[in-house]
Amino acid sequence: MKTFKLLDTLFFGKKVTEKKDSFFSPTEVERDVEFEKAGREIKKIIGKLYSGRSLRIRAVDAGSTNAEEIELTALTNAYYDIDRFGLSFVASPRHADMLFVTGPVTRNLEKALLATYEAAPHPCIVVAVGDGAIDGGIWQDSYAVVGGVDKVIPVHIRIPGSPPTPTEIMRGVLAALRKHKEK
Amino acid sequence: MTIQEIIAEFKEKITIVSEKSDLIEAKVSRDDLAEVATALFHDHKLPLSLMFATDNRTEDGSFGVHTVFSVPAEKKWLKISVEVPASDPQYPALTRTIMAAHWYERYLRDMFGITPVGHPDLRRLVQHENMPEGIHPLCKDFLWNTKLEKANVPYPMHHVTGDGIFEIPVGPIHAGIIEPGHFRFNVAGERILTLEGKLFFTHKGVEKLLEGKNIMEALPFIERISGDAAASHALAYCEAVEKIAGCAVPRRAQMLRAILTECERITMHIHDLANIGGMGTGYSFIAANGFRIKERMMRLSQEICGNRFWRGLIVPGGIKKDITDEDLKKILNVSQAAWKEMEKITIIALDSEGFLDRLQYTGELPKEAAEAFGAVGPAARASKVSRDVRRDHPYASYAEFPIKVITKKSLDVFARYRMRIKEIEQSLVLMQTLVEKMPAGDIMEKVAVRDGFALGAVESWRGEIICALQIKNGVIERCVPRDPSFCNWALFGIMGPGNIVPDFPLINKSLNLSYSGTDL
Repeated sequence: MKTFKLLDTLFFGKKVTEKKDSFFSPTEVERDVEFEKAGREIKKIIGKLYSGRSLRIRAVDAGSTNAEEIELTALTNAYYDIDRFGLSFVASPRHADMLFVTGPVTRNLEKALLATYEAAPHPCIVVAVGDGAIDGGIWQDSYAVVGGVDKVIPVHIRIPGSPPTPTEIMRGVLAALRKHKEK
Repeated sequence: MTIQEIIAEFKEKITIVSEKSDLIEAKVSRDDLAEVATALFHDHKLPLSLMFATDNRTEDGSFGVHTVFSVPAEKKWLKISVEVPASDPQYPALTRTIMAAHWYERYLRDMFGITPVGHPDLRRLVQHENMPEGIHPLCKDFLWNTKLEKANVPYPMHHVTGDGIFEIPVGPIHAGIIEPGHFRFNVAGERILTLEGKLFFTHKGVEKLLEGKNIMEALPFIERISGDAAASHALAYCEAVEKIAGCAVPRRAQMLRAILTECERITMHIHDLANIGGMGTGYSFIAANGFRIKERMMRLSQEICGNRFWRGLIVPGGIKKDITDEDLKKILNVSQAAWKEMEKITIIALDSEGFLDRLQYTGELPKEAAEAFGAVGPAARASKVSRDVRRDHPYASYAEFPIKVITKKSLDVFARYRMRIKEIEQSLVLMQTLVEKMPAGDIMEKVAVRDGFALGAVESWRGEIICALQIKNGVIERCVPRDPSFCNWALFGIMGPGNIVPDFPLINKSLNLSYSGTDL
């Protein structure tokens, strides 16, 4: 019985390689136009900058509310799937070309953030993701918060939002890469 | 035994200060607290829901230590307060007999400098090495924007010694995209002997920042306590504000609030089903599909609330923007469709022997431990503890549309997995009823800010959120938003040992606790 079921799936089931619009409604595809556009441009720049390999990103939580983390994780889901544009998240800063830092840097994480930055090979592009990472956001000046990421390590690009949506993050990455390319 | 009878039992010791519809405030002397609390917790089986301190030195020269017990049978909270003179800031610790108090007491020692005498483990909790000694941020004479020196005070952790024992430190910066926390495993081979966490890395001083804010200014902070439970935290806070103001929220707003928090529950439960199934066990098919389905719920939130986290709509007094009938139908349709799809995925997952092998008998939490540690939410319910704020202290429209508390018996990660499946199904049924019975009418009631104290409690997808709020002169005097994670983190000390190290991420994901919510 199981064999028949398998054959049925193989020959008559939905193919995973089917076009995106047969899975999603047209409005959903449309909404992501901007995301796709940013993605394609990123792919082009990465191809030139890193001679064909992909851009490796390391996400560091320096005190965020975990909403930023949810959005960063969302970047890898099937709707966004940033791997196809040559971006991928890595487990160690030693493999990273780019750091995503979220949240206002708390006193308790200042040392860890600095250590992560120092562990990354240079040049390393640092992206401050979210209002907190830019200037401390609503927690600015609190006794437990150091402030924006730039108080601890140099920041190359800032993506505002609380938290920024995946499309906004993509646009931020694009801006960072453009800036990096000009140098 | 009714609460009045219980109080009568301690006639000479307890004095009732005030009695409101859902909250009894009582006072005991400093030396009687441990005895009374122990009797309530052990003999009368009242769970300790919250413990916090206040700084009243300007009024009467004392600190207040408050314990809040839940009385589910009568849908009431019992708050027992103690005055601790500022000249001698100590009291007999509750932790000697009530395990659930152990973090609360370490917390109030760090934040207020009150010493619980006899506490078995008085190491620092919130304050890391960098915090100078003698700094107690929640005292009123400490300014919220003080720039502190960098110190290097030791923060010792437990060690096990012996032949072949290894210690594995993990974090605070983890390999995945998750929040920061440090874990210390002492292992013999693959087996975990002891497991200890060092948290509070994301401590931002939220409780201090809330002081002196008016009720609307505080809301952004409340919604950003834990990004994934924004609606529930906002609702707990609003409930507290409305109770103080004596504001009756319109029925439509109450029902919309229930719908929003249920949406949040469905979104995050789908996330957890995908995360436990996919990232926890390495069955990436589950994760790939689950996260895709969760994205649909997040996009639904974008359409309804204008952001992807169900935040912004719940405000003191009601709902900020009405949700049209069309949108309500859309909420229902999208959630039902999302679950229909996710259900298929979970059926495939539960069909896999390898998958079940990882989940079953992993991270068992005995009922006794769950009760002793004061576990809340799915963690408690998957260990046979029947505890759910929606039934015990109904808020929003749960009094009118009650839910049945789902519990599981197998105590392990598998129980927590099936628990979530059942809860989503229940939420969908509830949402359908709410949408069908939705009345027309107002969605806002004016909130006249008054001084006073109230408790707001909400069963978020993660568990019981309590917001203790005290308003004085129209601004927040003290606000304690207690995230369920705070109660559940210590459970890892029980759930971890005996399992192998690679199972820890799975156990961790089965609770999916918030670091930010604990650290405040």
